[in-house]
Amino acid sequence: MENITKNFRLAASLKRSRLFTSILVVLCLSVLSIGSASGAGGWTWRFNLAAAEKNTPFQMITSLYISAENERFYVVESGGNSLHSFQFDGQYLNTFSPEGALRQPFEMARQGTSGELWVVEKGRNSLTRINLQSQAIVPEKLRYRGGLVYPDRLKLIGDRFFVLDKLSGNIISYDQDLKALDVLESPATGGGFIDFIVRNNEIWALDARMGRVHRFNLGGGPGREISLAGYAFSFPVALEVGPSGFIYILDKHQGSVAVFDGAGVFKYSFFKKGHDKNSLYLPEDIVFDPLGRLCVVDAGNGRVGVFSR
Amino acid sequence: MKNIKIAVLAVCLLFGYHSDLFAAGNCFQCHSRDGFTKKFPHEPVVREECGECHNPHVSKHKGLLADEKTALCYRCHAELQETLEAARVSHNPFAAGDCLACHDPHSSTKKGLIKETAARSVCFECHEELATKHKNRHQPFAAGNCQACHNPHVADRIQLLIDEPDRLCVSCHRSDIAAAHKEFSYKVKEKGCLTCHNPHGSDGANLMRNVLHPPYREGCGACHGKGQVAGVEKCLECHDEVGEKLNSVHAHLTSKGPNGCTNCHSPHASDFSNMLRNRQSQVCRKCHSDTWDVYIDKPYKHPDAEVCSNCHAPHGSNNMVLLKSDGNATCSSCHETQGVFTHPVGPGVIDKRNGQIMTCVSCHYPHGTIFQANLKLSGSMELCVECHKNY
Repeated sequence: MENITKNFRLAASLKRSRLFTSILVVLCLSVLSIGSASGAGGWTWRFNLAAAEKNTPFQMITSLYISAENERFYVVESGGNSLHSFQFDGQYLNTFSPEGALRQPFEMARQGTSGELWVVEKGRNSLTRINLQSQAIVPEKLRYRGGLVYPDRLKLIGDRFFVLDKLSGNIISYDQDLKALDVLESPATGGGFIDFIVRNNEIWALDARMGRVHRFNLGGGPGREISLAGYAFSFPVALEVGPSGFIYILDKHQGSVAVFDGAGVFKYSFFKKGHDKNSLYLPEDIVFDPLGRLCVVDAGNGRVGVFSR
Repeated sequence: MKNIKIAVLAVCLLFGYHSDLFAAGNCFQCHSRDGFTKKFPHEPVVREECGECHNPHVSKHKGLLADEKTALCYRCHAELQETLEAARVSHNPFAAGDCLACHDPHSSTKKGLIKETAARSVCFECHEELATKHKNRHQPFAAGNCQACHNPHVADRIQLLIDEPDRLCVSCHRSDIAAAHKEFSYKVKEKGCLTCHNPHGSDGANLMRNVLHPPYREGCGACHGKGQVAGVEKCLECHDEVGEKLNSVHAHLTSKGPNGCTNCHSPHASDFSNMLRNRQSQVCRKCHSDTWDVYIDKPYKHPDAEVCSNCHAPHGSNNMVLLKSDGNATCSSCHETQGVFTHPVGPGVIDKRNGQIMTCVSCHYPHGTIFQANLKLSGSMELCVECHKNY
């Protein structure tokens, strides 16, 4: 009798153990399946911004402007001489493509109060003011100290424009009348700035050739220089700063994003060169949207990929 | 006891046959000592230990070598292998492990076991076009002392320069600079030497490069005010066709300094009619070394891969990666047949992998790859089934 009870207990214990093992296996599989669903570096692809109306990929997209005020994405499609707007959920809204009026738009900003658009037009080498209501398009050449400026990247902070001059590699600020106010010069020993962003009253500028990020305090305080260490870049083209202060550098030729901490120490990289939704091909720009999603202007794949964690 | 004796004898015989213990004296019974007795002998030769590199009996390597040539050299010169792994720029023969391209493994009249050649430097064995190129030569170059400026193994700079060019020049010529430029109306700085001078030689005096920019011939004032730097607009006054190209999506301005033109072109003197500062491939490589590194050692390279401007518009383009026209038109400007009869490409043909218009570059990487016809993957199947999955 005692033996029978023992055997029964043993059988029950084995059953519990099998049940526990089964639960463990199911849990592991669930975790693994979540892992495989997420993209590189913990970033999961959510959706693409694409020219939905035409059902064709964008041609030569160069930048993405995000308006937090009206919750819009604006995609600048240089190849199609067009600007496209999307809702924050990725739904296509509209295309601004007046016949022959835009010439190779490259970057844009939206004036919050008036709703006017300011567009860097490479084809005209201008900063162009667009009034959407009147459809008026007014291109303006920019100059600094008498010399012609070749506008590249653009940011509009309050009523000040910050323009990266592709010629000098300096960042020049202008007022609303496009009168030059100030210049943030790339150091003489450097390679010139190739991209910049504005965060919390600071400008972060990337000197790709030297592998350095320069921080300038717009309030007039001292700047800082961060050397990016521990990663071999091929062709960096853009920088972004994450909510936690990490620095994200987009490498166009590698099709990857390298992440550095605030001191410039390499932490990890993600994405690879290719065509699937977790890959990039000759990307041009990266931007965080107000929801903390990472948006990648993936020019070679003709889309803007939106990723979240 | 008998067995022990046999075992001892066998061990002795085994050691006796071992190549490391093979005395060189035996080798020279057949092989002449000529070639082993020059001023600078290789260390194993001095110790007469031929067995360090050769197996006297059998080998699967030519010359009865004990290992692959490179692996053999690295047995003792391990630090060179580490140098190569860490190198930014490496000399092709060194990277390929062809040490004997430059070195004699036995002995040489030259330090470092440098191979003796009829030319004044072993470098001219490969760089033969340089040997007789110039009427007037820079002294180290004339003496075949290429190592005065170049490192034959690895360097941090392109063209294997051991330091920045200006620093190299000044290291010997600091005291000459003021006197040599005394006719100039402004103080010539200790920089930009190669803007005017060819460090190897030239047909003119003072190693001035052979092609002078016409305004420079007229005097500095044609472009400069009182010592002022001439901006890009000054260049565009004459080269207005370039100005149009700069108004492109991808303007090839280089984000550095007041005049982007002078990053690639010399405003004063050059060895080339387009006033480039160096051979085109080297000018481009200075910033685009990652592209160079991707294709330079690939077995299947585009025939003119080093003439970048065959496919790319160097001043600016409205196409991806500065192509002269869209991907297909650029390729079919030479590959005419493929432009007419090929896998469908162009508008209306969509690449299933990314939804983009299918172009030549969808399957080929034009600079160079490890696959025939510069394909991105093996053309026997791997590449095709990326799209044609049901075949």
